[in-house]
Amino acid sequence: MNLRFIPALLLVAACQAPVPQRGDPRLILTPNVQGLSISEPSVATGPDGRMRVTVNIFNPGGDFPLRYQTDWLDSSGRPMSSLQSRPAFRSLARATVTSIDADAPSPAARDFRMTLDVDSP
Amino acid sequence: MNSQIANLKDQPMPAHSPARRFLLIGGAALLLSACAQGDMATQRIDSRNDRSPIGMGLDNRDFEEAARTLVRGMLDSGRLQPRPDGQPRVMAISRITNDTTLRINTNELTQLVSVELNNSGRIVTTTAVGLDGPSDPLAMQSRQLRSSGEFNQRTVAARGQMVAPDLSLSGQIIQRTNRVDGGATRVDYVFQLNLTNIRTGIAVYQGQEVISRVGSGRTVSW
Repeated sequence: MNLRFIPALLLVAACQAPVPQRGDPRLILTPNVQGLSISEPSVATGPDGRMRVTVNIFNPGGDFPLRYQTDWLDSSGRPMSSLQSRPAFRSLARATVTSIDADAPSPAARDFRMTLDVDSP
Repeated sequence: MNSQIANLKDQPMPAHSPARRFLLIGGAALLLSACAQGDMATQRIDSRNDRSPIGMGLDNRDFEEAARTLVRGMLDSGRLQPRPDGQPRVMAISRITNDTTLRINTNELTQLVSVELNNSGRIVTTTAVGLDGPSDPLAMQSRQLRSSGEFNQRTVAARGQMVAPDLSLSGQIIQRTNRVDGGATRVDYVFQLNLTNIRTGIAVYQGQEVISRVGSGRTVSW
């Protein structure tokens, strides 16, 4: 076997390992939260024109320290600087469904990216 | 008897005595632990991904969390309607009382709240009116340029240009400390904000956010 191709094969193998994503691409799930059942995000617009996102999470295991963060994007796709984009924390009680929601900072927000992760130092 | 004690004190400790060895090892251990604590390298903290340890006191993350929740409550209350002319309401900063054992500059909270409200487009903040005088006195002092022949008077603020506030933001930060089972300490910090309609004196929004800690009494917050 020609050993010259081994580095190239290793490189191709590394590049072909995408992070598994499921469901809505606006919801970014880290590998740490794969044990949770997470609904598709429900998106609504309030009377003041601000978007509101709600996600329901079922936690089948023990208490789970959830850290979530919502980036709000304007019409050009740029993230909006806002306190509403800071990380937030919820303790998901075991065997319960928890609703987490996020409000856009202003009506100028057109899209979002919500990241769910475990809260650990 | 006294002379015997004096003799014992005067005797040097043998070089290989267990007591001397114990003292040397103990001293070295103390020195090492002190050095280890001082060896932590300084690190930059990304505020959007700040996973650094917390203490029993308040840090920037707590102020942001409190401000975020309280502003969200204000905007969701549906009572921050614009003025009849369509312009956003004008808010002045009143007194925020620090009723904790921590040294807190309450501007840290009010600035976060006013910036977030400004960004929402619903409320703007006046810096020309404040409980202890304006936070920016230059707005009023620049009126003195009206009497100066050195300035183009068309560029000087005319009379009646300032906008009076509709709303007043006040509140307090309260601390309650308790010992809990197991010898730990629990500290609750209560952030309270009120938004008052200056014309009527009626609070259009009252909100409270509690940030709690349980931890060792060694990092107690006073």
